[in-house]
Amino acid sequence: MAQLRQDYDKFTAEDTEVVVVGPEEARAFAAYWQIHKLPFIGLPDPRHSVLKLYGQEVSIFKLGRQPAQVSIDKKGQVRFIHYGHDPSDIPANQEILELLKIMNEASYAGH
Amino acid sequence: MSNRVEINHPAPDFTLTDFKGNEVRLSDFQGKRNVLLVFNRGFF
Repeated sequence: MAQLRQDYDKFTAEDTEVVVVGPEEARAFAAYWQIHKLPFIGLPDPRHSVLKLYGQEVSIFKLGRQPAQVSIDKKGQVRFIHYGHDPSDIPANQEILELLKIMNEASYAGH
Repeated sequence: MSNRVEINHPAPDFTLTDFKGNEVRLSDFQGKRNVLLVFNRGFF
């Protein structure tokens, strides 16, 4: 999260909104966002509705909640998915940013 | 195993309320911005 915050401007520059979904209640989100001064959208999902929609069938939560990232382009298409195998298995921001740049170029080219 | 979330396929839409009380629908970003959806493993 700290890394994402650090590079938030770069994501914004790539026309990208960072949306964090987690199993905590709204109050826990609010406290965490305030302490860490996070600029992203934070979506509490205590009923796990979206967590299940995106992850249940690929079993990412069977080993405990592992991190996952999904990049979605402006047409609403999934362009990149990364399911972490352990809590520290998170792609580098630079990797995601390069992908977003490619997504944007493809979008401008009309693909 | 399901293939609901697949590369080069539409992202499943959803609506959740953010911690400030605002409704956020994934498809509202369509045509405007890319979205990096981050599934957190928990804060604590």
